[in-house]
Amino acid sequence: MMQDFISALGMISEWQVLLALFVGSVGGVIIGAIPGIGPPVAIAIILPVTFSMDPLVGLTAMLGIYGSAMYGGALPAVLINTPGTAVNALTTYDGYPMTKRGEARRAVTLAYSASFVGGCLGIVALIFLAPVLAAIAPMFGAREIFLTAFLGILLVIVVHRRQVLAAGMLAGFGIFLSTIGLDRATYSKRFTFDQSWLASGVDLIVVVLGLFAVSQAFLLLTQPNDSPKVTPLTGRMWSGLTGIFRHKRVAAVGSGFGVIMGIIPGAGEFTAQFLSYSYAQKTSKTPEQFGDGSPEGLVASEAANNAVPGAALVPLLALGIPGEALTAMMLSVFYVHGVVPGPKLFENNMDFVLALYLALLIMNVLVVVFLIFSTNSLLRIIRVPTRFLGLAILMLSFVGVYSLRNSVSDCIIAAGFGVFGLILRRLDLPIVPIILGMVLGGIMEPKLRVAMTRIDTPLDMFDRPVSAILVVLICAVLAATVWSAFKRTPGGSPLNPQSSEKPT
Amino acid sequence: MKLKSLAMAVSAAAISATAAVAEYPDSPVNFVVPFPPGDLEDILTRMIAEDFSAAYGVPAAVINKPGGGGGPFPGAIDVANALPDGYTVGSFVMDVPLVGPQIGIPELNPNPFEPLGIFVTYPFVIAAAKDAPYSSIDELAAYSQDNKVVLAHFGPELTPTQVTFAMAAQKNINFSADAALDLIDCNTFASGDADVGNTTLALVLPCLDDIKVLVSLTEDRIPLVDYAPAVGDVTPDLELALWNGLFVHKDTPADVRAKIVAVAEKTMASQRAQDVAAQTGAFVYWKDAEASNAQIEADLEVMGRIGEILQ
Repeated sequence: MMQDFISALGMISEWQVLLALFVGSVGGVIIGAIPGIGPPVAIAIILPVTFSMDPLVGLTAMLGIYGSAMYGGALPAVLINTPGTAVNALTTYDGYPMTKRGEARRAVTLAYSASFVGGCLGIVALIFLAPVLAAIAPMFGAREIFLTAFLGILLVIVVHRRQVLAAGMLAGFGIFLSTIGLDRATYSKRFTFDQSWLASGVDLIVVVLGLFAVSQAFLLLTQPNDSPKVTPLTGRMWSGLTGIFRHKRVAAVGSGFGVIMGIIPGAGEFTAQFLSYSYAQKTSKTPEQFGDGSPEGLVASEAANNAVPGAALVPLLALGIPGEALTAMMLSVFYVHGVVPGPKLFENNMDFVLALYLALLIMNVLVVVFLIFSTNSLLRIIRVPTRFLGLAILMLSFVGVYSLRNSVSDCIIAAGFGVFGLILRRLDLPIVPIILGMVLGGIMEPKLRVAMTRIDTPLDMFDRPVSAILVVLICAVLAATVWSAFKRTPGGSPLNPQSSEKPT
Repeated sequence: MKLKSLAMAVSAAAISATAAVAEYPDSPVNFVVPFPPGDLEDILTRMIAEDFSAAYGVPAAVINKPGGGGGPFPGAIDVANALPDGYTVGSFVMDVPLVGPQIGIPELNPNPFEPLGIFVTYPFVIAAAKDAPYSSIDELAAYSQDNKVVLAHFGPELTPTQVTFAMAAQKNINFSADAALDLIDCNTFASGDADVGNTTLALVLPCLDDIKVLVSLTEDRIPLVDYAPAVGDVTPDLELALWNGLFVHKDTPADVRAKIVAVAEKTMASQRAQDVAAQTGAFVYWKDAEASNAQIEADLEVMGRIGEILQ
């Protein structure tokens, strides 16, 4: 073991590895911070380059991008209400209101530290529990993943207190969006109206950029032409970084959800976030602040999503199960270099595995140091006059959308969603449920189809231990929601959202 | 005056259009892979794109357009709709030219593509968990008479799935259900989502010790799992192997095609491409347009037979 560790240290101190680590992590932050250019695009671009590198160099660069992009993605989410990557969407709920209150510095530093806690706990889980946790993955078949995604949708809806009906309808709209295009089982065209530009469906990134970035740009451009009302920045950087200690419990539980969801192949960070967010909201002393600049909400969201990358490597390294597109790309880097993940990797190449762990840990430290030193210049973005900021966001998002599949119709769709997002913002309706509906709807439909091949009676849906637990959880969430809704509005109907209560 | 400037603009456009053709490639070239990144066609097409870029000094990118359970067809539609100028090249699985024209997608019927060459045969297999109570197609057939057996595949219309269905019909295998999955990997068997799966060896490499291959859907046995018979050994008249090739729109000029072929042929002979083959069990080679067309003809014949069996 000690020998492996020393050998791992030797591998990682090669200058190529260190350079890849630096470029990957700093590059990942920047890529994550630019709305629309997320890790999938970046990794697909560097993938062929990594084929000619040493396996550790190539993998470190890719893991750097994968692990640090969400750090970067939180920045625009907090500062300009535009998530840098799709998984930072929830961060806008509490991050941006804090910025509007003049607490931008506290918000971003809290986001860094929550991300750091999540990221490190994810790696710790990977290091100590990989062989044990890997046993969880095979317990999740199609019906368990379907139920997990369903639980995710349910949580998205119930965390929008006072807007449950609207959130439910918007989540339904998101699920609808995921069905557009060629049907997955019989190749029939669904909702395409014989339009070729609809045949390949609506891409998630296009919708995210439209609803968040483009609509934010429209909002800024329709405001009076001056610098935004900048409340003087309060809060020292250190108070934000240490502020995480006041939210230890939320950060730890959030990371825990991230770890669990990361291990389940294909469930992903979205469900983790909403488990974490609704847990934080339910147990908070000030649940009414959630969605309105609650530090706890911010911590819950960022800790959960950053715990996922480390944890997602558990099934990849221990079993060779990629789970989603990003880790599948990494699997191909392993293959090209003749390294086959799985139990044998741990037996024969433990030093290589240890070197990967070390690289991940160093990456998290590098990213936080980089962010701390660049925070003051990054914060200037909120002082940019609205029309310049609006135009810059608009340009960046269209570049992002176009670069996705070189499609002009995608840009038009994004513009359409931009207008729709603007309407939703003006009506003070939540946008995140649409995104979640799209992501989880896309998971739920094929998984349900596969699950149904094993199901003869409805009871078969939960005849396995994990699926039974999930069904109980789903029922508990429903019961708790109905119960608390009655408690909150004595004599009133829980289905009557009193959205006027929500401050605008 | 207006008319004159219009005429000038038109002739200028005409000149630049000819110039563009003469100088192919003078702007970025896209290789469309209708699957998510990471599998064989993606890895090898990325090598072609890289070599293409190095040879001609223009950016060449691989664009992944996965169609979910819709298979390669949404991505193929995009290539069919692009200009036939060689700037959009399809890296297509055989289903695009063979099955595409027959499933009611107007953009793909009649087949708008012609092959530049075929370059990889996938190590497709029919696999089951190691502890399954059958080890061959015949034993599976016997077992399936009294027990439920669920088959996982990548889409009902795709070639390996059709071969599997035809084999099931010939050998009297009784699948209780089948399901289309995006990814059939070690977890598909470990989690019990399916009993038998139609997948490529690359996706189950990490758990080769936990699964068994009943038959490989390739011309020859795959060296990595040489205990399993090839499809021709089991059902000789269903010999059909899944391949991937480069395709362009049929109106693409010949000199443009030649430039793409020159690079791709060299790429496939290169050491790094052959390394991928050795590692994954795939067969990597270059079959020119003529041989590719002959392959497509032969495959069509087998597919016709499969169509009759499945009726």
